[in-house]
Amino acid sequence: MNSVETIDTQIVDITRTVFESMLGWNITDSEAAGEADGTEPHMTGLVTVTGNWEGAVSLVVSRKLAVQIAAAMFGSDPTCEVEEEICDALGEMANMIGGNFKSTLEPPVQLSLPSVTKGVGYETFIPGSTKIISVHFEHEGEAIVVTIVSRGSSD
Amino acid sequence: MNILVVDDSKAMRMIVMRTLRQAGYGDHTMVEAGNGVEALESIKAGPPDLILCDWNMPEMNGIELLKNLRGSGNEVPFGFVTSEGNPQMKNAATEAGALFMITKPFTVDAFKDALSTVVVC
Repeated sequence: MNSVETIDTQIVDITRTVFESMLGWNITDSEAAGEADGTEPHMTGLVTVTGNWEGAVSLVVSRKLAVQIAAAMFGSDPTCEVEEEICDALGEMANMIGGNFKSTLEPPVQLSLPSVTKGVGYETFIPGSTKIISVHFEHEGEAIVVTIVSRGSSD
Repeated sequence: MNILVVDDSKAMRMIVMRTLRQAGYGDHTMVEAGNGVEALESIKAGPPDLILCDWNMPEMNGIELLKNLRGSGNEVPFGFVTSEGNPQMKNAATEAGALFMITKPFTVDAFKDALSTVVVC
């Protein structure tokens, strides 16, 4: 697998491209943006990768931002929150980021269907995995965090 | 002309159809399906002139759908729209009978380039 520095660059480029191409958003790097705190509702889109490399790619945003993502993708009114659409949109964003990251890996590797988790004060763990990198972005004051975790000795 | 858009994400189906309109294909009829099984049912009901299909879907994925179609003698123009565009997958898609692969995230120009040899605006 590539070095952490290379993965950092790849994830930054991939994430920025996904948000710009799909939503028209110019997200900015933000070292200052922390993880979602335990008091605000947030959502996680996640895909796993198996095969020659095993791990996961997650996209964490506030619920507020997830609603905006869905509105941008569906071309809908952000005040009309349709839960299925919000989960669908976030899952697809995670799918695109994960899928493009998967394309940087040595085959054979397979990508899972995306899953979406939502709530307050939760954390997501992949048993047996270690965090490779978390990359932080910001859009209109809202944090966007993309994390790569790896499982097993193939990393 | 009927264009069948197959993706398990409703959001992505909407974006694909929006991009088709932006690329100049708005006059064509667009039909949606959520996976390969639904796509086959839609094809039985009304044969499309072009299929744009995601790769990774539940029930029946895109490559399974394509192989099913070609195996039954259906030569409908077929292209993938997927987040996974590595060379191995592109080779597999081509060998199975796909005409092109558009990688997500995509641009309007990517659609124009891919479809220009297949569909008349």
